[in-house]
Amino acid sequence: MARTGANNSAILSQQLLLSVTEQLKVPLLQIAREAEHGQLSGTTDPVKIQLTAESALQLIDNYALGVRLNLEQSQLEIEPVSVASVLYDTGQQLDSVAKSYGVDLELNIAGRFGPVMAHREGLQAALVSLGTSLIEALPALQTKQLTLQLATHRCRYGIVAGVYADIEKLSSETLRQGRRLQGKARQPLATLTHNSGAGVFVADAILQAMDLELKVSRHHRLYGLGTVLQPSQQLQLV
Amino acid sequence: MKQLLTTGIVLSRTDFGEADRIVTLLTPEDGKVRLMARGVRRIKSRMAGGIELFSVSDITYIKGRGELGTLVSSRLIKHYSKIVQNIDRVQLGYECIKVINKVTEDQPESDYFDLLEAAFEALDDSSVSVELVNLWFQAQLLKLAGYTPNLLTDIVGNELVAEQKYEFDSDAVAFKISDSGRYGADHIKTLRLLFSANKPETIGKVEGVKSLLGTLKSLMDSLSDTNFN
Amino acid sequence: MAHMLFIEPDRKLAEVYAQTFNESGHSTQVASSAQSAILAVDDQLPDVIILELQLIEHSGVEFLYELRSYPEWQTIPVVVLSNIPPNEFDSSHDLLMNELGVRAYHYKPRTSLTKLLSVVQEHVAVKA
Repeated sequence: MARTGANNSAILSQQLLLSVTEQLKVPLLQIAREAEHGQLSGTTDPVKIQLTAESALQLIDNYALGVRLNLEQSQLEIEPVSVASVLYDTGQQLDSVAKSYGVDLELNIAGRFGPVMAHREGLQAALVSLGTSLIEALPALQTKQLTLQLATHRCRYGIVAGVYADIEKLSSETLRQGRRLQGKARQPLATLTHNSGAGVFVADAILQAMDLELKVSRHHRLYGLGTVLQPSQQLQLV
Repeated sequence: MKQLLTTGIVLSRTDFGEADRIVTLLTPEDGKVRLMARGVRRIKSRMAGGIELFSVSDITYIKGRGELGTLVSSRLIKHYSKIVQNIDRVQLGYECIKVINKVTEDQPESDYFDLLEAAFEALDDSSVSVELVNLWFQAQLLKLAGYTPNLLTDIVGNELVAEQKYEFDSDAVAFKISDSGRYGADHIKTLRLLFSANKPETIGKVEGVKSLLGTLKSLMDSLSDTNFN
Repeated sequence: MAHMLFIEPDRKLAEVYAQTFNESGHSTQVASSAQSAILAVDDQLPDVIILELQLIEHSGVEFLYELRSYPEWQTIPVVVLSNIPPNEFDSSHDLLMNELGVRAYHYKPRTSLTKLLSVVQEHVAVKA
């Protein structure tokens, strides 16, 4: 996929900024009401407030990373990276938001894959962003199990890394339509989330900056979002 | 008993007895059809069942002796799901359904069915403005009822000319020359499109149309008031 | 003492609302989607419904359309508490208030729990 010029890229668009702004209202609202409840009842849950604040910080951080990556495109450090280890670290980062939404995290790294070529920080940020979006939406998606699976598998084009759940309606068309509606509709991914879906679009933009593509993906009978990575050829030269 | 298959758009629903509902649908071949849906009130799972707001479904039913048939099954074909995200679009969608419900009877009404479906399609598309869909819908309704205004010649029979300004004469349902008139070539061209286009999306793409819609609204409203009240 | 149904897709917010109202002596139920909300109303008739319009797949408007199609559910007070700014509804007041029977519209960022408690009180009292 051709890299668009920094000035045209999605991450720097006003639509994405609007989407992120709308999304940030969520944790701030949660904190405001949680804090008010604490005052009314006399029993505060500071851990809840802390986790919510950290979740908001993460969104801001990922968005900022996306902007930076796009501005520094020519200086992107691609290196051989272990997908398993990225997924593991992603799981660590998602742990608290998963707990606060009652979602179980599972790591599924079947098979042994060699390293892939990627910008590690960007890849992890994208996966965390995707994972957070799905976790927040899962309780309302009426899935049989509240589980998010972080998984990797080989496909025809390379190695897929993604986040998956037992959701029904996720098609490539949903993602395509979402990209078109982003910034124009309140809920561009209405079948996936009740929010602006900023997490998905931030991940989309981060991946774009790394010349990767966000795709709807299937892992066994689960549906989700991920990206295809290329195996590192470096070891073959040694 | 023969089962009939058709496509339908729900116009209204009422309850009947303890467990049943009467659903009124607009179909292309049979016009307005009233069907009894038995036992559905107990389940209350309508949203999964295919009878949804702003949607088109495949319906299987059995014709009754009198007015009421029996719904056998329904399957959602198309749900215009983006309409409900914007309350202005919902409002217009609701009004379209209400109006169509009023003007249709049980004769074949494929034109009205197509009109309603096209209205949903346009409302579902955020690039088409609600004002434009409203004007187009009003124009198409007038046309179907036989009330297309004269958009070719003026009140005395002369061809409408580009450089001239006009006012609209509601009694004659035609334009008359007026130097201080509100309507010019662009308005008339747009009106012609509103009455001829079978969907508003194409009109929306014409440059400059947006700015004309406000002025055209009053003309269209007066036409609708005159003819439909 | 009333039975509230919160239709709220955000689990964290739903928990805070439920806790607040439970602690005020009401009983609460939470539904996170339009479909499950219909089933919840069927399960236990609420005295007031507090509804977020922005839901997954089927919106709050569709929920109301469905709710109000049942005669026995036509008078249940519904208060909208939404992320959508109220000015987006200025021209559709009629639809929301009359057709769909919304009693009041409240914008989440500007509606504290205290305010919500008093709004609900108002509508429960009217119903009685």
